[in-house]
Amino acid sequence: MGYLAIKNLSKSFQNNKVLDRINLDIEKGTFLSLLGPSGCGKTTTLRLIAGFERQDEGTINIGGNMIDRLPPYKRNIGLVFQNYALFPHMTVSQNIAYGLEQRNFTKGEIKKEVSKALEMVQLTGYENRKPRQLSGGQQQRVALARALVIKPSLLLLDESLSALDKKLRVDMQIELRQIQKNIGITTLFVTHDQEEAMTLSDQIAVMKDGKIIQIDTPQKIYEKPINTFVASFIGQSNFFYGKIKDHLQFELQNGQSFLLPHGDYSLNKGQDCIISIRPEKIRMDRNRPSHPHIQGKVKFITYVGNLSMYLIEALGLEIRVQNQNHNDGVPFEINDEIFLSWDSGNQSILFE
Amino acid sequence: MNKKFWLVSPPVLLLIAFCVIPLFIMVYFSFLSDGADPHLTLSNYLDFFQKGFYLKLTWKTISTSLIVTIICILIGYPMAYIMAKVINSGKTIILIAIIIPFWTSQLVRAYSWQNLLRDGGILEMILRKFHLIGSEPLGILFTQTAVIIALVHIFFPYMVITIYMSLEKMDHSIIEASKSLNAGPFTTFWRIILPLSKPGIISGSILVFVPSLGVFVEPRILGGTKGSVIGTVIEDQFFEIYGWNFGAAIAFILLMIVLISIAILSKFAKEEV
Amino acid sequence: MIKKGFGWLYTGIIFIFLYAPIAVLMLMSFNKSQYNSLPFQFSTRWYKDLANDQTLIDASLTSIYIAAVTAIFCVILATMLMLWIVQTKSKWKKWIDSLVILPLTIPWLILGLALLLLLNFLKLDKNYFVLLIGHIIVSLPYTVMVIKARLQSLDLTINEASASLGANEWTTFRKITLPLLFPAMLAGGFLAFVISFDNFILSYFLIPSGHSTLPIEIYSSIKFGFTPVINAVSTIILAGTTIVILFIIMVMKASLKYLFK
Repeated sequence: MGYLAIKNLSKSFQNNKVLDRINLDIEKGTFLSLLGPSGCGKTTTLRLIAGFERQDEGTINIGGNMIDRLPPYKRNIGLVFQNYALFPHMTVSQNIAYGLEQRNFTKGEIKKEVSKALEMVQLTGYENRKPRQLSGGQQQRVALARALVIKPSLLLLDESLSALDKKLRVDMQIELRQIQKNIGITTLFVTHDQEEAMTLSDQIAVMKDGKIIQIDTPQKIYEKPINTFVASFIGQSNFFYGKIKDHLQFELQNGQSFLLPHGDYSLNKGQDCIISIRPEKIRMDRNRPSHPHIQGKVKFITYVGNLSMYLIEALGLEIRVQNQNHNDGVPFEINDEIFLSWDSGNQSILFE
Repeated sequence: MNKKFWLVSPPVLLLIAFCVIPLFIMVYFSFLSDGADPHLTLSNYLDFFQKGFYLKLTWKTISTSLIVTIICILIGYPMAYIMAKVINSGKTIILIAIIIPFWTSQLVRAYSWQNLLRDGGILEMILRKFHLIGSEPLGILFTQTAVIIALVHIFFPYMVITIYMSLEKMDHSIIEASKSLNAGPFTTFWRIILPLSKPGIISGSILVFVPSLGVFVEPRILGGTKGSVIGTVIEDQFFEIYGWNFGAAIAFILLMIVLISIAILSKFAKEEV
Repeated sequence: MIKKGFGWLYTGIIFIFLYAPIAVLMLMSFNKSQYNSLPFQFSTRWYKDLANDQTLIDASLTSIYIAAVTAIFCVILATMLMLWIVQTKSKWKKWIDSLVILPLTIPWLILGLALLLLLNFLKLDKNYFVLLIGHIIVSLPYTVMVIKARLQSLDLTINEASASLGANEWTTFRKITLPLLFPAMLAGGFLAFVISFDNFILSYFLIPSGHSTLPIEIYSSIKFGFTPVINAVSTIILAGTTIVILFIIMVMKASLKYLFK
């Protein structure tokens, strides 16, 4: 059993099953993101762990202690809220000291801990400011310091970076990750932003409709999604629905067929399945290649600076291809006849 | 989290025991006969509905409230519009200045009109000075007009504030959109601004019309004998004639009028938007 | 520009309408004439009369006591109610919401006589207990509105933040909710005070015989012909309530500064 162990956690609100037997097991020091669209149950999971809601079934263990029956104020969990939830009538240092006061620290200890915490988030000198006198990023740091100063057994972050603007968010991501690694605190990060989850996490748990669909490292989640939901929620993907026939032949649902890249398909032969391939993994050539390929025509081009997105019409489908914009060669244009191909290692065979 | 009913039960019980239950007791009394040995009877209600006097009185009460409401809309809308859309400085001060008299004693404000409106009073002197009236007395005090003026004075802030809030909430770009579509100021007002401020007008109307139905101080002080409305008759029943049970019946009828008006007006409000 | 000028002109006319009667009343309280007649001659005789009028002074003190008790109870009850309302998911919430504003929709005349009939039904004499309850019931919705507005402007997740930092519910209330709610409680209390102090109708129905409040005294004086002392007392009331109301507005505005953005 890992450091944080959640077993069969379920929760309903008014007959609406928000969480359906969630299981999680993570090692100490892990940074895990709960990633999913709104309403997938990620926030509920967090609120159950924090103790603001009571689960219908299931157990939550931290470091071998059952915390399910404890009220929130006895769980010793650090929380950073989406809107920071700083106490508006207290100064920065009063905010940070609040949790220590509840733990009956002496005045001297509190002072020392607060200044250490402020140093950690680089806010020394801001002790006597009120939250409203701080920028969004500074408020975020105070919230983080306030949550960490109590030396919690677990850190929960609820969409904590989403209120910041893009550039600041990237800076905070790096800082947050550094602090988390230095302290080595096990962290659960709730987000709907897949990019953020990819950059920050050791592991990502993709959630949908109250269930965890896949838990893996960011790389595995991206490269080997287990179904079309994961493949399309994290990044973009082209899906070919159909059936694997003999000799690399893939028959699409619309009756057309094409040859799959060389590889071993014996396991899935004759099965209904979905071939998933990322737009940037598809090669685009003007000349017919010798290996298996699909012939198509450029329908639409979107220029995005360092790369271009192409919409290709082929096999009665629309296929998205992403290419780096190099200096060499003549750029593709609309109505160009082109040939698409990819390596079998880059595709995923999915069943749902 | 626990339900914490201990927080909510004292105020709720207080309201049930001393607001809801007394209303039922009032209904009970309205069905009692007078005299030493009271018994259940319909006679209080029959008395009310069979005497033309009371029906006329009811109509007078309702029509007075209606007139007050309409005047409040007519003079309150421009005020709210000016505050929301025309001027851009001093809004807060105007708002506060409108609210202040509203919170001061209703009784004192009604009384203050006596000084102004009475024959030989200040208004008469000013009007005479500008030759707007001749040597005859003003003759407004102790008429229905005086009551209406005072009621408008008392309830008008409600109307301004609710309309102001609905106008203030309105996105200015909607008005600009209308103008960009070649609608003139009049069309823009009539087709866009007015319909969108309708909820404000309606909730303002509830806040003016409903309390106007139950007044008795203003008619008493400013309406004299001509000012009788349901409210003054109820007061008479309780403080002069001691016909409590009949008074309870009239009060119940008044309550019904109030509730029906609220229901009708809120229905209008819901149809919008 | 013309539009703006017209706007200010209209505002001016409305303000003459709103304030002229009050101004005249105040002016007349300093007029020497017994019959409010003109020309105006400055005099403070009515205020001197007032200072010697023990009945009016007693009635004023009664009104102040009633208003003070009403204000205290309204603040406590409204705070309890609103703390529950803002965080409950109970199906009763809708009903309780409408129950609280019920005294706003029922004419006070009806509420007063209904309470009188309740006393009659229970074969009790008019007493201060029911009088106070009447005052509390009609003032409560206003206090509730002020406190509710404040609570809604507060971010309730700060309570959860407090809990996650190890504070139990009582500590959270004492250290977080109460300090943030205090300005609104103060404002709501003063509002209840003003409403109760000015309330004539409920006192009129429920005051024990032989006692009276200031509005009752004013009403009976007006009914039996005017005495200029009433001008003086009204002026004091108007000035007093205006100061209190301005205070409430200032407190509420200052309390907005607590907000984040």
